[in-house]
Amino acid sequence: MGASGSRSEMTGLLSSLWDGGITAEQLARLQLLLRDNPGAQHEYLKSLDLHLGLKHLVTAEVATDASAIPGLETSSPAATRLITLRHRAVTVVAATLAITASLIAVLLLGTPEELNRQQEVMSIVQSDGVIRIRPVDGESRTATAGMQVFPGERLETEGRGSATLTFEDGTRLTIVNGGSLSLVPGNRKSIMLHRGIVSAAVARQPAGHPMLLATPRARVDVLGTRFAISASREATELNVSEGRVRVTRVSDGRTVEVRQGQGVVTRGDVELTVSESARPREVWEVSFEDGVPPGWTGAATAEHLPAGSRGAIRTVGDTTSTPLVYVIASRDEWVEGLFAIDEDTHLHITMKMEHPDWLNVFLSTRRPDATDPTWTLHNFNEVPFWPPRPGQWQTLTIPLTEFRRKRDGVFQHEPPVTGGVAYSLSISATEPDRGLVIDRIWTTRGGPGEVQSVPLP
Amino acid sequence: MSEVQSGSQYEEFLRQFTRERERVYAYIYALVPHQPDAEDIFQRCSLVLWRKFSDFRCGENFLAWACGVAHFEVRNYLRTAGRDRLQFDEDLIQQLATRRLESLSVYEQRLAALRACLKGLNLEQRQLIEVAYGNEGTIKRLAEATGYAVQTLYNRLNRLRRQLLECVERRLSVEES
Repeated sequence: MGASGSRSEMTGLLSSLWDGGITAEQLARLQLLLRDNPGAQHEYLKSLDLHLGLKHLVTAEVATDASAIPGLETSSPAATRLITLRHRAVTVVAATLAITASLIAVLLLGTPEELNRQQEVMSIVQSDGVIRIRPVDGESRTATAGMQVFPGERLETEGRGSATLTFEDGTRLTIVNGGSLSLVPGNRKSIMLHRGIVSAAVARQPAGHPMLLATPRARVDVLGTRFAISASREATELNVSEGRVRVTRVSDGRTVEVRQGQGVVTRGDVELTVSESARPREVWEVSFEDGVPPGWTGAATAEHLPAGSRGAIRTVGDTTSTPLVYVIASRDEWVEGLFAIDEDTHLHITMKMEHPDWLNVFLSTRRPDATDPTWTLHNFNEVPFWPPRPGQWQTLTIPLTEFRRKRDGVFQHEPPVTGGVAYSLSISATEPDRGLVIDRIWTTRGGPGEVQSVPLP
Repeated sequence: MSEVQSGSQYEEFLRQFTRERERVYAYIYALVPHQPDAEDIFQRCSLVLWRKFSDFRCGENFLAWACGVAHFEVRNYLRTAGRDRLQFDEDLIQQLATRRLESLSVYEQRLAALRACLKGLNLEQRQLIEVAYGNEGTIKRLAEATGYAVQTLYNRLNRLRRQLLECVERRLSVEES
């Protein structure tokens, strides 16, 4: 065989190269074919662009999520890490998620012969905020109540948007808080929840044909029940308030049955245990001693900390916002909740700012029953004794009664309802970056009953 | 080299880098067709680009400048990498570097054409593409789930790639005419 080679030989070598199975001998042969051969080099580059293009298009959705990861800031080690994160989000993480999504697709879709039978359609009956429908291979469109979601299409709620969808049989799903789900083509009711929180009231399904709901971590078979499910890259949490569901962990195929009043969390290889749905904890604390907790938004820092502290979290730029917002945020803990809200609950934040200015503290709350999709956004931004000295560590204490509620686009003095559950917290400011660093966040029952800002010694 | 650059320089860098980062990565991948190595080089290159951005002259072609830096980083990386790695030799890398920069001028058009071509696939074909480009290992799982032989799926995948490549070429030639 000469250096010119045949086209099929070249195609075969390139397939091995892109599929990661090329041997040293094959690579040497490919090199021989490419050297001093502009035509072969042209073919190689076209084949590469197809490979990269397919990878890009398959993982585009996840890459979009990753755009929230902050940009380069300085030539510090932190910047190196950010670059790493940014790129890995587009390639490694994206690919990893695509693996999971593909696996779920296989689990959901079954064999090719099962496809293209009767197709279910979802109708949007209620929407709030920005909702979009994205076809598999076309431009996305803004969605409003009255529109339909067809098999293969993806519905996304941006920011704090929410949407309620129904199937013909009365099954009702509400998706909130930047969630994303797809109606999977197939012969049964099948939903892929890519991320976010869904509260579901599922009508009784035909025997032997449960509704299927898949997340990056789990598959849920539902015959007819009410439940809430929260999905992220790291974990899936589920609580059942009526009936029962079967949950299968994608990573190892382990299955558990979750009944009324019970919940389950699938996170990596942590033991898959069904537990009674407990009331959310009364008090809560996060200290960032071991870095940024999974699912949180922010960057770890270990510089210039208060005495005795080993780690803190600093803001990162949310490039999806205009204007740019610098933010530290918890992950959404819809099912478990961050903490229960009592009439005397106080929130404490030990923090400093290099360029002090006003900040917004947002607290999202839900009702006691996690399967009730009603949620409320509260805000606090009135700080006395403000601004503090640059770089001065201080503890800000805010009684929850000082938060205001966003209603009809404006914040009104309407504090979180006692008995509710806080499920998400974020602290943010628009650009320029204030250099906010937080060492510890915690809540207490009881406190001064007023806002306080106390410098650390 | 400026270690700490101004806010406006940062914004300008971010604007240019965000626009060209996919193509810079595609440039590196052409010279080093091994994903983990290409990713490592891209990460190093991103940092070097930011550090050297004060050398970049306004009005200059950012992609050409970035690819110049990337080419240097590729050579640097391969010089220090282990000899047991599967990689092209320096002479071929040099040849590909020149040709790659030319081909990147139509990278976006190729991607757009590919996006359109994917619309022509049926569900089964799309599923195969998604599995293959999520992770090569899942082809085996797909084979188990569907009852097809692994080799059958790989053969289908190769036919699909050829079909897509022809579709992309057809679309591009129509656009040119």
